[in-house]
Amino acid sequence: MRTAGVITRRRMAVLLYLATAALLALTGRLAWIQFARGAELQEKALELRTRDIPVEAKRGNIYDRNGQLLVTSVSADSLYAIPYLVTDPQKVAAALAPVLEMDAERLQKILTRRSCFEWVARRLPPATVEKIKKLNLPGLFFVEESIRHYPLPTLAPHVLGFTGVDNQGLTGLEKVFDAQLRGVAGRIVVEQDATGRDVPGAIHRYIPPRSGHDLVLTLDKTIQQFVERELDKIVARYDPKLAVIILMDPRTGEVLAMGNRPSFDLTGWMTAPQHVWDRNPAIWYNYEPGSTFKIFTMAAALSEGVTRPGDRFYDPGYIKVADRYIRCWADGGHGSQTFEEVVMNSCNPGFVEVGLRLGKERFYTYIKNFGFGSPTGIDLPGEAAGILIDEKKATNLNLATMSIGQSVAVTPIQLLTATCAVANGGVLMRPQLVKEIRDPAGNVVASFQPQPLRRVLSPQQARQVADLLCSVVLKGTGRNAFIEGYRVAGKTGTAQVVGEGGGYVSGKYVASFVGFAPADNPRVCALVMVAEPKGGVYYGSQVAAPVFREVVRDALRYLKVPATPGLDKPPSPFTYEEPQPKVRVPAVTNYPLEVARKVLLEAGLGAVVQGEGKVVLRQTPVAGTEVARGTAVVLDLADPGVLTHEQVVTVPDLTGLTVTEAAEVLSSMGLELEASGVGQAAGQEPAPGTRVPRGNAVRVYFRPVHSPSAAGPAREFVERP
Amino acid sequence: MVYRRIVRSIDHTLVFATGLVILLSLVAIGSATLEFTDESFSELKNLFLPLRLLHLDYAFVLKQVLWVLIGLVVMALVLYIPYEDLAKHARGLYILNLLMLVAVLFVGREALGAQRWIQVGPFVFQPSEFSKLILIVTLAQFLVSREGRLQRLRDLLPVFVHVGVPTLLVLKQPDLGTSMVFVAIMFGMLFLAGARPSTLAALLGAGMALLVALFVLHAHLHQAEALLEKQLLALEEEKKTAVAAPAREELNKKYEEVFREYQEASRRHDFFHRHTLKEYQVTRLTIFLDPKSDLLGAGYHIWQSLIAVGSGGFWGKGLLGGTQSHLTFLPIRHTDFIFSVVGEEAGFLGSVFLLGLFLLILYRGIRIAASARDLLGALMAGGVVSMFAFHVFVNVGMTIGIMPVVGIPLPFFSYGGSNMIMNLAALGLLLNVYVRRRKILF
Repeated sequence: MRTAGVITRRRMAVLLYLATAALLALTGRLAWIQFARGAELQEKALELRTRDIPVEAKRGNIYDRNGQLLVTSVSADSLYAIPYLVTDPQKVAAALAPVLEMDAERLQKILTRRSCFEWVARRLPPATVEKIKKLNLPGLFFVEESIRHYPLPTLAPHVLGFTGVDNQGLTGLEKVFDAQLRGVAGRIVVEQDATGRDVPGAIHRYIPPRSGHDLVLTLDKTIQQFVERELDKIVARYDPKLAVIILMDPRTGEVLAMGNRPSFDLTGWMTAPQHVWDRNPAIWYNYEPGSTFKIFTMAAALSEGVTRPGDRFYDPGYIKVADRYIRCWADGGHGSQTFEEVVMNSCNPGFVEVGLRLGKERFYTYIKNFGFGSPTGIDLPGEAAGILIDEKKATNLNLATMSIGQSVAVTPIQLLTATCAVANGGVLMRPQLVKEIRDPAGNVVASFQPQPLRRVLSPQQARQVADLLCSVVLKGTGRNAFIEGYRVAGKTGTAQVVGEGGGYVSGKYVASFVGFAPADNPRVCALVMVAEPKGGVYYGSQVAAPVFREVVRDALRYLKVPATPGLDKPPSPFTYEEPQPKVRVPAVTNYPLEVARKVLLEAGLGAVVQGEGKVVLRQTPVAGTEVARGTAVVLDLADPGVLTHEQVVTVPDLTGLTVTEAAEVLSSMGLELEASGVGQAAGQEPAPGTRVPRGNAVRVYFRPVHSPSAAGPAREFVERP
Repeated sequence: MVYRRIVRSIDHTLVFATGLVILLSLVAIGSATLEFTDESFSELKNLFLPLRLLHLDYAFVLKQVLWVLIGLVVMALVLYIPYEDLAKHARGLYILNLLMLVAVLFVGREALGAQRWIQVGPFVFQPSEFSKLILIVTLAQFLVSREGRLQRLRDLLPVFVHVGVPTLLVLKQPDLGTSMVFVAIMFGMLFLAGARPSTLAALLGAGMALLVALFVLHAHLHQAEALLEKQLLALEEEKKTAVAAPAREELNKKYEEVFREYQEASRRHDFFHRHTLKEYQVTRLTIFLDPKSDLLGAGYHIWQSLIAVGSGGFWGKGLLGGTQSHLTFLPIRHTDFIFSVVGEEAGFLGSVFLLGLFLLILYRGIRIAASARDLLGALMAGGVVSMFAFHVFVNVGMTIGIMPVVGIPLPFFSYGGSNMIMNLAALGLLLNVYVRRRKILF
């Protein structure tokens, strides 16, 4: 046997040193933890021991001005998991998946996440909740949440807005007043031991949620319903691009109703196209107001004394400004007339004249005072400011066209707010949508008073303007807005739509009427705006004024505004005397009926159908004939089957059709489409009218078309009433 | 009368220190296993100390006493047989060792996700514990037979095989901690046997570098996956709040894209785990660096232990005063994390006292190795000391967050039958070497 060598013994000493060093290191670390970090670690311990469970607050209700419920919240249970309490995630997921109609694998992934809180499903229907409760699964809990409920889901959806998954306001008033409506979420704080059991006698607090506040709006549910009804009628009759009706109380600036078309359903907003719900045309759409803007030219001119109602003007049918002629809408002009008649006739040269007399500075001061060029500050997101040509750059020509409401863009709410200032005796009010905020117990938390912004006109001048506007309704272009028993003041407007390139788009107009009643003590001020009506009629006096009459009459009666007896009646409803412009009848033979109707409507013609079938066999008058706008074209129908006898067909005129429409037309005739390009059909081969054998291909060239939108600088000045 | 002679000549200091550690452990176990769900225990700590001892939970203490008694018998046995005779049966012992470890893999009982235990009658024992001691005996004999031939790396290869086979078997259970103990014993004994320190250091360094490289690679793979998962969650959130139809579509498209990337990252990550360390092993080995990153998961043990020890302060909260242990926040506190109980209830003072006792044991062990009458005895004693030292350092280090949580017990202190019996047997081996030492010391 050998003895342990010298090396071995020396190394033993080394080993001992190493062990000692290691134990000293442990001691040092102990000292660090126990002396230096003790307090901090103890604090951390408490944090770890508690668990927070959020309890969502109930979102506040929205009422109309009379306390009628517009939006409310109903409770719905949501399911959450505390993953480490779920003992067998696979089993739980398998049991839960069919009830929730969720993927079991996905569920299992949620249930095995390393966290102490996971949502499993939000806002479940009561039946599902019952089923899950019966399963009695460990680690799964319910918490009461709420879901938005709309008694009338199509009422003023743009104004009210909607909420998202977490009940957060996404649009409209729901977004603007989200903080007030949302309330304060509550919490359940539980102290637990290591396995998640509650520690008896330990911290266990319930911090209840505080329900959101309720909103009381200035809207009146009934008047809003009138508005929605009239808007539906407009859509049925004119199928416009946009339609807006707003009613305000001119004394306070309170918005009584605000409706838009196209519109959507609050419960199904997800299925509506985005451009429909993400902007509110009433506050966003910039358009050239046309003649309705003359109210403010008139107000400025009378206030500044550049004209008086009795002053005489002469209208030869045009006026020359710089090197441009601005025509009056009436051929040959209105001849000699007083200023009152200029207003009644909505005579362009007359207004250009007063506009030029005012001069740039005074004109701009007034229209800026009326609030044009800046947002009104209404409580809604996404308001546009309108467009004013920079004052420094504005020329005399600009001034002339602005005097008649062109080369200026306004929003519907701007125009109406400014009109309210005329109606209420000259004070510009901030448009108001919310009257009060109430807590859940019904106590008023905040109440919003009418907010006068500034005096724009003196009461006498406002009176004068209102009187002139009354004559417009009584004797002038606004006769269709006359309401039996009330003095109505108002102004029509028809403006051409400005295309993207800046020029006016022919055949596309914005028809509008703005006015108030009763003129002596106005209770309602309203704007009706219809953008791009179809069907040949597009004058404000014919499209918008009758709607104004319907909705304001109903509102006045509903508000029990006493009628003034013994008022003059206008001699006859206003019709536009100028001969209807001639239009060429487009070729619609061989078109499917719907397409033919659409083509005719766009050309400003009506359609009368004869016979049965799906395809147009014959049309009277034939294509190319010049007829008055609005004439009905008689369509003889036939079944596509009838056509199969013929082996040779006539190639239809496809101009202006989309690819789908063209394909439909051609296939109904047994022809093939060979498309190139995108947009609308701009050319074709063979030419329309050519007779070709069935089965041939027609080559169609499509070109993109710029869709008209907000205002830009004007290029051509033709103003109509 | 051999016994009388032996008892008279044993190392009394060592026996006394060990006895004191075991006695303290019984109190610690009694306190650690006492569970409360309310604050009533806080009144107990105001009692007079001996009275408090009566309130301990004696269920585990009594069992531990039984293990100690059995351990003492085994110790006496080991002490009685001269260690040279033990070494003569090294080959048989080695084979027995392997058989035992293989048996565990087939007939072993599973608990806590690993197969480490074998049931024999009413007893359940853990072969890997005894395996350590047997390895010390067989490796000592193996190294003696190769004395002087340990200078070159090539010479070390047979030693690696000798230790490697049982190590891999243990790793297969899986028992990462015990296999690390094997490696520690091997390095300690190779060092004493005269292997070149620079070679050993290089080997250790290479091993560490390999591990670090693995961890870095894993961190990279893991992070890529985690990042993508976070993106997915964020996108899910976004999808919920996206109101615009085109935006929703775009989000869906993006989601699909990220999801595909995520699957790819996930696949690579899984590949890594299939062929190297498992996810939980990586986590366990690295979490101590930043337990806060996963407080309720992998970092839970360390964090709770840190809180327990840290809140003990200098004097400790007193026996039965530990909230962390009695409210069961501290996990596996009567076995692997018993030092945390000491830290919380006995404070810095008590902890350092306990560490001092361990140092005394290690010192006496080294002395015994130095006084061995031959290399075989020196290596056996050195192996036992290496084992104890590694156990103490890693276990205590683990409870105070400077070592990974590998789950190896504190010698003579943690509750556990196999471990206690093995430790006492190891003590027997030390004393065996001591009583048969050279007559002349140093």
